[in-house]
Amino acid sequence: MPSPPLLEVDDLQVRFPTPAGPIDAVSGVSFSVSPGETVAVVGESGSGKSVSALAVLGLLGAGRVAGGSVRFRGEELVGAAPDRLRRLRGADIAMIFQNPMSSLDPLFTVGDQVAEALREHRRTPRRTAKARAVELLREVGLPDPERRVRSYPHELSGGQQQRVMIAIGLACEPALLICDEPTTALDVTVEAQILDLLRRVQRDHGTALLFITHDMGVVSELADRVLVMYAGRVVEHGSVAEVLGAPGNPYTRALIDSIPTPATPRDVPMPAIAGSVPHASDMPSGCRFHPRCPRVHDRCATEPPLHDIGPGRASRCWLHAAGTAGSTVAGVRGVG
Amino acid sequence: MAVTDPAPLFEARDLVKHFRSRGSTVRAVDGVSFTIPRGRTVGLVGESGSGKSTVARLALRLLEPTSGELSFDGVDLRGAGRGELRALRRRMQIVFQDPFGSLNPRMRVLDAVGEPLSVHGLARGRARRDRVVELLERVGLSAKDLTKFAHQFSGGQAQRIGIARALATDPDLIVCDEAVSALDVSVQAQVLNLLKRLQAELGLSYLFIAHDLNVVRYMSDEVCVMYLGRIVERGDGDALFADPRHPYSEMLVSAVPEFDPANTGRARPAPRGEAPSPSRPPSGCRFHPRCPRAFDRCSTDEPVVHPVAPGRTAACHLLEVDR
Repeated sequence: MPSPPLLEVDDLQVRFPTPAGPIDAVSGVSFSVSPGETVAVVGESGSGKSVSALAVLGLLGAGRVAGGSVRFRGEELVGAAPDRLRRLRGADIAMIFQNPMSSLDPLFTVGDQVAEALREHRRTPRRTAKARAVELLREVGLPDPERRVRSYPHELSGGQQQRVMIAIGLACEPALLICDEPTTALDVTVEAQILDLLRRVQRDHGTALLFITHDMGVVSELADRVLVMYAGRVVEHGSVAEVLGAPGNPYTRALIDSIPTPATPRDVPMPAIAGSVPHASDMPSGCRFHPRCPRVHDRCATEPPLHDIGPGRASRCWLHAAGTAGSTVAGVRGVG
Repeated sequence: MAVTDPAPLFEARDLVKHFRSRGSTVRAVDGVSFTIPRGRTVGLVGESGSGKSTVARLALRLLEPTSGELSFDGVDLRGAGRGELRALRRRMQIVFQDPFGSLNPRMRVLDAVGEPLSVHGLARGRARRDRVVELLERVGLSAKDLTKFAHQFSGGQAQRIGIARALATDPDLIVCDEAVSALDVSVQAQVLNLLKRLQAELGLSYLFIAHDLNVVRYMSDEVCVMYLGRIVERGDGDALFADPRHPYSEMLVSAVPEFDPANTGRARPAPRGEAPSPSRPPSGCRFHPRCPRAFDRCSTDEPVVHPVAPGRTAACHLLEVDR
C-alpha cells in the first residue's frame, strides 16, 4: 500500500509580468512526491523546472501562482499566509540551490548559520544549537568540523559550502528537501561526493527529495521517478528506468540521444534537435515541441493531452492516441 | 626546432605560468607540453584549478608564460616581435564559454563578426559585408541576421556568431574554451557538429577545453587530463576513458554520473577529498593525498611520464616497469 503523497502539485500555473505583458513560465504542471522518495524534474533552460520548485515554497519573486494547487501533507500552500510559509520553509521543507555562496550570509560563520536554523524553527538554546551545528557539519562530511564551525563561507571551497547548505537544510529534519541544480556549479568529483551525501541523508532520515536538474546522468543515478519538462509543460513522467530506457515522448527520446556518452561514435555527427528552446513570450501553438519534432504531423497543431502509456507513466504526444498512424512507442524509439 | 614530418601546427614545451598573489605563488601551469597536429583536435580536461584555461590563454599569448616554449607553424611565439605576433594572431582564434559575455551588446552582427576583418585590415565596405554573410552562412545563420544584436539570439545562435567571428580571419587554430558548456544539451550537440564540420571543411586544428569528459572525448583525437597544473595522462580518448591508467583519470572518469537506463540508482563509491589549492601543491606526486593507491614514494618523488601504450602516457610511480 503506497503511503499518501507528501507533496501534491496539481495543474500549477505560474505567471510572470513582463513589459510586453504577462508570460506563463509553468502551464498546468502536476506531480506528487511521496515520503522518502526521490523525484527528479529534468529539462533544459526555460522548461519551468526551477520555477515549479520555487512555487512550492512560495518563492516566486515577481511571479505568482495563477492557478492550480500545491498541497503539503494535505495543507493548501497556494494563498497560505506568508507567516505559515516561513514556518514551513526550513522546518518541514528545506531547499538547496545551485550557488551556495549566494544563499550563505558572508558576514556570519557557517556554525552560526546552521545554529540559526535550529534556533529559528526549533527554539533550541544557543549552546545546544552550537553543539548540534558541529554534529550536523560532521554528518555532511565537512572536514574538521570543530574548527570549520568558525569559518566564514568564503574560506570554504564550493563543495564545502554546498555541504554547509545541506547541513542547514537538514537542521530541522525536514520531510522534503528541494534541490535546485545543487551540483551544477561543482567539479565532477565533488558532485559525486554531494550526490553520495544526499543519498545517505535520504537513507538515514527518510527525507523525500525533489531534485531539479538538467543532467540525465544525475537523474539516472539518484531518482526513483522523473518528470521531463519542456517549455513550461510536463511532456513525460514515469519511473526513471522506464522513461530513460524506453522514452515515450519524442522530446525525451531526442534529448537523451543528444547527450554524448562514452559510447557515442566519434566519426559521425551527434543526433541533435534542430532549432532552439522557445521563449515563454513566443510559445509555439499546439504541441510546444512540434517545430523541432522529428515525428511532427497534422494533429500537432492542437496541443496533445498527457496520455497514460503505462502504470504511473504518461506522455504528452498525439502518437499515443488511438488511430494515429505509427503511434507505438517503439516507433518513437527509432528516432535519431 | 627539430623537423618532423608532418610538422605539428602548434607545440607547447614545458609551459609554466606562476601567478604571484599576496606573497604566495600560484602554480597555475607547471610544466605542460603538448602538440597539435594540423587538422586535429587536442582536448584538455580537468577540474577547477587544473590550469586548463590558463593553458588556453598561454597558447594564444594572451598571457605571458613564466617559462617554456611555444611554437606555431614553426615560428617561436615567445621570440616573435610585435608585428610578427600580430600576423600570427590572425591565424589563432578563441571561442569562449559565454557568447553573450564575449559579444559587444551594442554591436550589430555585421560589426561583431566583421570587426576582426577591420582590425587586421582584411576587408572593408562591400567586401567585408560579403565576407560576413559567407561566414554567417557557414555557421548556419544568414544575411537576415546582419542587423540584429546579440541579445536577439538564443544561446546556441549567439555561440554560432562567436564561431563566425573566430573564423573571420581564416585561422588555422581555434581554442575552444568551454565553448559549449553553457548551452542546453539539445543545442550543444548542434554546436559540436558544427565545429566538427568546420574542421573537416577548413582543415582547422582545435585546442578543445571542457570539463565535460564525454564532450571532450567526442571532439578530440588526443585527450590530455590535467591535475593541478600538470598533464597526468594523455592518449586516445576512447582508450583513455575506457581504461584510465593514472589513478586521477580513473577517479575523474568514474565520478561522471552515468547515464544508464539499464542500471539506474547505482550508488558508486564517491571519490575522496578535494583538489588542494594550486598555491600549495602537495610534495611528490600532486595527487598523492587523494590517491587510493599512494605508497611511500608518492609523497616524496615526483613521478616521471611513462609510456603505457602506443600514443599513451601517464605520470605515475605505479607504472614503473621495475617496481
